[in-house]
Amino acid sequence: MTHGMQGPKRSLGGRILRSTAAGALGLLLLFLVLPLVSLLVRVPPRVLIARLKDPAVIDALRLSLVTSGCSTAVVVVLGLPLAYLLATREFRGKRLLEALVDLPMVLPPTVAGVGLLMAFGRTGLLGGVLAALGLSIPFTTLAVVLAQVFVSAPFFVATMTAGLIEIEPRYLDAAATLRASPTAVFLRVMLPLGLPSLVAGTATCWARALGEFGATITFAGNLPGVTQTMPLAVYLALQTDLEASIALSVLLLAVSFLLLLAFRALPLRSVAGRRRAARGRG
Amino acid sequence: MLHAVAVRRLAEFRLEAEIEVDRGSTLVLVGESGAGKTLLLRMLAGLEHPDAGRIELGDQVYFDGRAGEMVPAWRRSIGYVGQDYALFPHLSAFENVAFGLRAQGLRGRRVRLRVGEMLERFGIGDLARRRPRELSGGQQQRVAVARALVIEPALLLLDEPLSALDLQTRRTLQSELRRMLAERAGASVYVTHSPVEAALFGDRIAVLEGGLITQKGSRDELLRYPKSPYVAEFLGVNLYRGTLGYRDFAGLVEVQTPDITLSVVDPGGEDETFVLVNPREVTLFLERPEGSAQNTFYGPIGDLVPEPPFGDRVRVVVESKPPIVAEVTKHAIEALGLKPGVPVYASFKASGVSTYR
Repeated sequence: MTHGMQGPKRSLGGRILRSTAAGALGLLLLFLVLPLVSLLVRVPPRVLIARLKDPAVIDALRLSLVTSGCSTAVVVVLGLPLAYLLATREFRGKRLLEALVDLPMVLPPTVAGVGLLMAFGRTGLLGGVLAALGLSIPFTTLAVVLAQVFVSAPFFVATMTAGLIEIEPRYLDAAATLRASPTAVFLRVMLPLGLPSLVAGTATCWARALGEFGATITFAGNLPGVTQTMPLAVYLALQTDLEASIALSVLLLAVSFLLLLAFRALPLRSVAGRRRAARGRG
Repeated sequence: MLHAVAVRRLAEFRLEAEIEVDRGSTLVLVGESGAGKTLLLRMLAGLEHPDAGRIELGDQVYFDGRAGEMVPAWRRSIGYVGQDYALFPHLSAFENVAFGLRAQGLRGRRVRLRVGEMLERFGIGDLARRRPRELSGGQQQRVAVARALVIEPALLLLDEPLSALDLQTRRTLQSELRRMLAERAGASVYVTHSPVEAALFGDRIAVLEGGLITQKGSRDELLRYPKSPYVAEFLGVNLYRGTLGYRDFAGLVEVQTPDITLSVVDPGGEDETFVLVNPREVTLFLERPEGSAQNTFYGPIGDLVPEPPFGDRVRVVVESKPPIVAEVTKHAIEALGLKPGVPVYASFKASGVSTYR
């Protein structure tokens, strides 16, 4: 074979690859956008707006925003120390802990709901203790938050841990030689350098909490105004009133999209840099 | 002031070093890459844990292997400038320098005054608001040194602070750093593999080879009496070691080295001796030279290196056994037609050496 033949042949291969990739991209985009467009075109805007004034819709929206906000806050506050631990320390059982943290990501949410029920329910492991304290968690707004925390925490912890690991150790060393205590190093170096991950992790965690359905309906039930979040309301409305279901879906879509856009718009630039594989010993 | 014995077992070798640095003086730590210089510095800083030993700074014990005590880096009175400066990318030059003061709880005017003063001292006052990525290598280096100095550390540790810079910037900063180190009241340790910097900065020089300190002393002691092949190469001189043998009546003695017998002026004494030959004392010939009291090496020329760079002298490496370096004029190179591969005789007089134990 001559060199003259290799050139065109390679570029033909390249062309095939490029057109395949373009086709795949188009197909995927179409698949992702089609349901969204279908939602929007199904009901006339006037009807949509009228539906949104329904107190039941407003209740569901408020409940969704409040619970997902609360659960995200809880995850961030509890998840940061865990991410710090996973990113900076080596200890026995670390692999096991990492697997445990990731588990809710792959678990069907209904299983998570049953698990929560078995832990906090009246007949659950902690049920007796909670009953003695006069507390009953299932089928309350608190249960909604717990369900959301359970399923969304791994998304935050995974993103945050990866972000903290990315921070080059030389910055942490430099801070330590400048009299910064481990707490100060975390607050003044790791957090600012890990800020893009903090934001990305918070956004995914929040999005996951907002869309939570399976664990919520299993563990918290479907009480309007108390545990009926937007996804539950959508599903319930689907049984009786398709138009209402679509209106709720569009609303949820709009809110999610706006919040994700807002996160993207934050003026963040990754400054952590790449971690270097090896450090010279000189 | 600083007294440190640090031991650390590594996969390839064992680092075991003892160093002392007086108040107001600078110890230069030289050695090849991988000799353990950076590791030793990081142990002094508290960034690495020694396996054994003891590190004391003034009346503070920073590490005591026997008692199992280790003061973490952030509680030590140190300043550390690494090879790559590690300026915080999210902070301005001003905030980088202020970092150590703020970490100690200082706020407001006091921080502004001390940081401003330090930036002025390094001539970077007008760059205070810039981020590290908006600074040149030399400017970053100044910020890094200012950041380490503003907290007034008792011990300043510098790890090849000029190695990442171009030649021009390095020259400028060499004199700045030299002045800064001379003014310091505390102790300083300066790691380098540059002979120029070792000679410029070191009140005392310690040589680290394969994890061990093979020689330490003043600059002059090292220049006059190098004691290892590495130091000799570092200084650019020829060094041989052998056993004293037959003495003649003219005051000369034979020194038996592994490859060659040398004839040198008798230093007296018995046993072993170092023979130091300045490359300028070595003459090159195309024919075997005549005359007594000559030590002659024979081999092909390996390399020709101008000395100084672009200077009018040339260092000629003769790959004899053992090898020898001669420093001759450019004129001699041309007259003899010397180039790599040409076999030559390299010769020096019995009186053209210094011997010591």
